[in-house]
Amino acid sequence: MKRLLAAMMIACILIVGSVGQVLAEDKEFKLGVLYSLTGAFAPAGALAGYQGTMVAIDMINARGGIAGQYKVAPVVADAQSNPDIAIREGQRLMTVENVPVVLGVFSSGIAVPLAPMAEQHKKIFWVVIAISDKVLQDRHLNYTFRVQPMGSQWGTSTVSLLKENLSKFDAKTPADLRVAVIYEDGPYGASVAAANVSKAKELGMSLVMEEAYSHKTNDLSSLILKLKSAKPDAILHTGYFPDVVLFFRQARELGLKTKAIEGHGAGHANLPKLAEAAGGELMNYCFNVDPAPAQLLDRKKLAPGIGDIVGEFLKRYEEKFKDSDPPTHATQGFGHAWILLNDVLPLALKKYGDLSPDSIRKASLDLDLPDGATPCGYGVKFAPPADAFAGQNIRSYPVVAQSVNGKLRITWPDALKTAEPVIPLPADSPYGKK
Amino acid sequence: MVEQIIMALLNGILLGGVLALLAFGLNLIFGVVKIIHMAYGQFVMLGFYFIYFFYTAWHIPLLLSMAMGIVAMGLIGILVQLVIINPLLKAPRLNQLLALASLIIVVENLAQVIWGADYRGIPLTMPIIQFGEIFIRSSFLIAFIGAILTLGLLYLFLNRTYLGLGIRAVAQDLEMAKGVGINPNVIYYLTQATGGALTGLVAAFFIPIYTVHPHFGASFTLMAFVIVVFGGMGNLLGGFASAFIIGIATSVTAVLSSKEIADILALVLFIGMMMIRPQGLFGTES
Repeated sequence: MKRLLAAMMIACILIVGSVGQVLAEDKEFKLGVLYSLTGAFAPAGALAGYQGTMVAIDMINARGGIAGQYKVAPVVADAQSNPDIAIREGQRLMTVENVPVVLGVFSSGIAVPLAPMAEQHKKIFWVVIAISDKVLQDRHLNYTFRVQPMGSQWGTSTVSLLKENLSKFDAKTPADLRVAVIYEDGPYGASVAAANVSKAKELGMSLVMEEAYSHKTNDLSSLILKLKSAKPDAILHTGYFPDVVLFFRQARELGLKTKAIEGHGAGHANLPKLAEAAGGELMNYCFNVDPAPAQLLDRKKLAPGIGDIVGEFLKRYEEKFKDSDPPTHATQGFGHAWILLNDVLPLALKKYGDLSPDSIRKASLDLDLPDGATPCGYGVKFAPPADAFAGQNIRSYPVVAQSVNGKLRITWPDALKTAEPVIPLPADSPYGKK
Repeated sequence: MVEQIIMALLNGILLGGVLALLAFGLNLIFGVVKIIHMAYGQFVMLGFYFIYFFYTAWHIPLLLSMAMGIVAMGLIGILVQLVIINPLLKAPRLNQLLALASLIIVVENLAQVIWGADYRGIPLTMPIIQFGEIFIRSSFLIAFIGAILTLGLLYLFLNRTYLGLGIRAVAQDLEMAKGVGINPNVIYYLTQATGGALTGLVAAFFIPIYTVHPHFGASFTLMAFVIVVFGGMGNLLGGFASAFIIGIATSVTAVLSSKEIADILALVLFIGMMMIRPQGLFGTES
């Protein structure tokens, strides 16, 4: 009789176990994924961000899902590089698809209008790439979170590199350094340019030119003529891809000379593509300010286990997308999604019992990861709702990398530096003085 | 400052040449077939992709790739006439416009499916032309010379050949042209082939200047329309003159104020022309 009871109990456990497993397998978490998969923003970095996010989802699902319980089921929408379509698709994800989280968005022009919509529908908007301060500034949003550094931090990194290398520009004081700021006139360019201007003025540098242009422009020659006349030591340029290529090509043909060119992500970020489209020599020795791409991180400096995650990401990305040197947007798409799926959602489940937007919001505010504890290198702590930048990760920062003969080297900050910056532009650069 | 304005003027003239080249085909097609080719800029994009593909995938020398791209676009022009324009020749103007506007989406999505969303470009190192402190962009200079030569050849073709005479006859009076034995269908195909080939030619001249992506054509369609309507629709000389007016005005304004103001000026000039002279600079009232 005892044997029979024991056998029945074992059978019950097995049945319940297997039913539980079936139920667990059926449990899924619908994640809204919104990127510009087509249109002008797609090749500029949105597509790479999406691909990085999909690798993060694959990796989480391969580990059994969120906290080993919920498989991630992405509901993908294409913003088509168009704010109107993005808003429509964002609304569809939040209301028709009823996803608790919409993750993604490359362009600030899309993120700025989408954030209040998430607030209205009480759904989490997890901003992966868009950097404009205006996405969060003075809005005190409860449901929008951004792991990515914001535009004003680009200003700090950009100008800090100049300030720490004054002697290389033959400048004795910051006032001796002539700085020009040029930018595309959307929220992204305007936000970064404002930060550059503000920081340069704060440090007493001489601002010799500040001018905007539409990233859809077909000609930048007049702007380049004015740059030639202003004779800047450093040009701080914020643009998307076609305008960056146009700038480099026309600047060469019009004989622009300077000592340093610093770009700010987006168009400047994808070096292999820039080199393929315009010729590598044009952007040789140029700087790009952005979060570090995964392959540039010193994995030994990361928290235990994170280096392996980075390694697995790079391996999977290469297998899936045939790219062994992914652009920084891929790292952002991966790393920022990974933080949501691997850190925030399990915390929401453990501490608040479910994956509702409110539980995810509370878990996001609770999250406290130190520097080196994420695949992006930096830590995570979101500014609280009372803060002017509520929802912004206050521990993220962009680094300044320099492209030298096709290889990227981190030149700022000192803690992550892998090489000394080459300043001024040498004679073999088309923009270097002969 | 004087040096800056001189360079701005030079740039404006060169830019005018590039814009004139852009407007030729659109003008020709409207003048003869009497349809507004809404997807004109998208055809320039397609021509760019063809040249890129011949050069990078089949490793055909660049100049030959360009020639093949021009021929391919000429054939595409014939295909468009056969498949889209012919069935709509007698349809209301709105139907024609909608069909050709839909072609924009078809062409852009087709390019996206075939070549993907990436930016593609052929890295060419153009020579630097310098006179003291004055630099002339060689890529624009080539396009400028190309525009002058193209206009000259088109002029000779339209005025010195029987086929050109046929095209002009159909453009001026379709019924009378039919009466003297001209088959308008042949003329339509010929015009579409020439217009298509011109988009390929524009693409060839754009290779050293731009990178291409599936949505590359949109801004060029708008610019071509502004120039063509400003100069008088269907009038080749009007399009040529307006391209230089807009090129010089925007270039000098951008140096004196900003690029954004210059972009506004181009459209303000256009609106002003529509208010004062709706038929355009060289157009005649119909």
